[in-house]
Amino acid sequence: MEQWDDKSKLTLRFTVGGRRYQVPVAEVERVLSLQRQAVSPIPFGLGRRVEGLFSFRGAALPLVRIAAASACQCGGDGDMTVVLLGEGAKRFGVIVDGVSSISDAQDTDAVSVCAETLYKGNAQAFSQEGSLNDAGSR
Amino acid sequence: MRDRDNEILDLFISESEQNLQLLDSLLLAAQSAGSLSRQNAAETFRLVHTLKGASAIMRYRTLEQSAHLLEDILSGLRGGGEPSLQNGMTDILNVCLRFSDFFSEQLERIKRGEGIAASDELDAAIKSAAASMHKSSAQTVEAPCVFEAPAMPIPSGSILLHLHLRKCPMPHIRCSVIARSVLSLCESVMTVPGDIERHPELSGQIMESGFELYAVPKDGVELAQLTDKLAKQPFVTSVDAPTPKAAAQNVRQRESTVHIPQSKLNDLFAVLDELVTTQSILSDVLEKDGVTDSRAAFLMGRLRHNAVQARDLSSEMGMVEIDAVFQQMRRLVRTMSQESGKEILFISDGDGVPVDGGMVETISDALLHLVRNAVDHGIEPPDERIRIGKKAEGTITLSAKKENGMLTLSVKDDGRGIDREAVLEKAFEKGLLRQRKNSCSDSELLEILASSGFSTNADVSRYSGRGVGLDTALKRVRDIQGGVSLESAAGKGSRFILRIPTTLSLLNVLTLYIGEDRALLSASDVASVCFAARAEKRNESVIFREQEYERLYMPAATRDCDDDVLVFLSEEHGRFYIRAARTDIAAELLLLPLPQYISDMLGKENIFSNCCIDKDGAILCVIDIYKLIAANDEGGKRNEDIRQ
Repeated sequence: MEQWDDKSKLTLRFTVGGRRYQVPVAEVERVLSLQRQAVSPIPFGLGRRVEGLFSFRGAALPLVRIAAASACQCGGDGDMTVVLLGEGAKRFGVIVDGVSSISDAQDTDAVSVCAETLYKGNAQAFSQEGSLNDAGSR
Repeated sequence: MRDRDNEILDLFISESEQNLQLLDSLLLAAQSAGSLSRQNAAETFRLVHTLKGASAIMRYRTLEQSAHLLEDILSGLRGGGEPSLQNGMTDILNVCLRFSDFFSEQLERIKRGEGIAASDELDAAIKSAAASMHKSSAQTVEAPCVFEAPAMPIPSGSILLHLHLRKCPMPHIRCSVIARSVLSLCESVMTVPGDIERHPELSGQIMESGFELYAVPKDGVELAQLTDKLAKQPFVTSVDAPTPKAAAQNVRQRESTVHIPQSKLNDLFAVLDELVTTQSILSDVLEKDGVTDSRAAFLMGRLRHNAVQARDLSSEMGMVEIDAVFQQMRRLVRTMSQESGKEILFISDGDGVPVDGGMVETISDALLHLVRNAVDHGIEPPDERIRIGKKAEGTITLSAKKENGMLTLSVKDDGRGIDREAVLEKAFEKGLLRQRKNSCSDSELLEILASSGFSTNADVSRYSGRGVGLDTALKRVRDIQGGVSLESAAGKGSRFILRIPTTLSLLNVLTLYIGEDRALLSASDVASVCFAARAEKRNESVIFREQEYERLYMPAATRDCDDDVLVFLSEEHGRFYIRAARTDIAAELLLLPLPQYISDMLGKENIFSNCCIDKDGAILCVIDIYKLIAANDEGGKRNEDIRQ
């Protein structure tokens, strides 16, 4: 159990469109499985950068894709894997292809992301008409 | 240990806040009644006494000392004749209110972890009020009390007993006899007033609402023994004894209360909301799958009942009475009128109306501005009022009413009305109007007053509450699905009306189907829904009930839809309509905040204020009419003078 002591160094690894990412475990609220039909789109074409809203513990949360352009295979008709990130009013879900592991070792090939940069990358940068690939990578 | 200390401190703060609120309500009632009844004087005394005791326990010596000084004055008021305001009472009430203000301020400081301020000024004021009272009340010698000297405070450890009597001759004397009957069981017994047998005029009141006894039982005497003995006295029909703890803390509080952190309550509400939604979805699923098992149907019915009941109970738990807000406004009017030399009668109507605890701050912020404006700009100085043939005393009426799930609040004054020309001129100067104009409708006037940037910081005085402007205060009312309207007539006065859903969590909605999309409107935003006549179909504007209505478009994708159903919006928004393919009247849905992510992402494009979980589990966005109008303005769809 020793290696789990320092939680700040733990990262959750996941893949999106064949690419590996890692995010600090401290920022992950949970990983959940979501049915496609449980996601409601934002009406009137206003949800261009958001998949839609889903309900989690009585709150409505936005569901986003990590990178607009990457060839994400996730979604389709079946269940999606969603990583719930952030806290309070700024929580959101990210669609991923799969979650691989939790580790305290740095994966040099993986793109490091964090909730704040993802949030900014998606919600804020996009609102200024930015088109970011790999929004939130550092 | 630290936690325990904090708990005690929290309890001290919350109980003191409650007591200060009761104290304020008594003092302000006395102020408007023109006298302090002896019963209320006793109650006032008791509250100050309790505050003193609590401060002593917490070792807040300054607070204890001020309370002690005030206690001395008040103990003198409880006996003797009915003190009127002429007998230096105004001074006493003022000094009591100052004490209450001081105490409240110190509680705020304690909350912030700061020390207590010095009370020298307050103490001096209390002492000088005491001195002037003794001079003026020399002739009102305190009448002796049979059981206790009237100047004696209500003994600590008193139990308050409330007795009711059957019809009997001379009930005031009967009260005194009944009190005497338990002297053998008690250290002391006190009626209110102490010399009740000398007050035949109280007979009616005693028959109607009973009378009260403060009793301190001797050691070893049980409360039950005491109440039994009292109940056996001739003519006594009932004896109510609150729990001793509650009696010591708060006479009015007949029920014990527990303190629950707001965050825990919110968590509970969220879970219950989800429970109701899940139940609703489950019931749909069963129906779709054709489950006809009668047992399942029965259990589903029961589950629905329980879920709804639990949610209703929980929303009641979060309810508070609006009285505290009214009191705050009464206070404000009183202070402001004293400082400005205006004479103002403040009337409040609707005490006891329950409101969602989460909305109180929003409501009081908005009312604070409206009442402040009424005093500052509405009510004229007395000489001016007399000159134009009005009564010297202006009137501000604050009323609250609850009907059809909406809380209606109105702030009305009989002052000079809003100066349209001045407002329009200022709006033009500030760039809120594209061109000068010298007349406008009430709703245009309201939009100017509510637009950000109209009221400047210079207008924000110390009465502006937590420092938000009128624009922000009104925006918050709209954020919780509230509507605002205004009527103002030159020379006659103004009236602001706020209509707010009574709970934050439920909203009556209308579902709009437009193209592929589905969204919600608050039912309170909708005036009427009808089918378009063919001739009107392609027109931008339509005539409805002899009025011209302008069309509002949903953003981008749905611009060219030409659906048949016209949804006319309520007048407070101006005259607008929306076209939809069809609409559904949904019942109440649970209101959830729109994720900040969405509002950040959409920025100015955002037309939503909240979202709801529909019966089928879908999350639907609630359209905010104000934002929709603004979005239509941006798109050049409207030629209005008011820029958003």
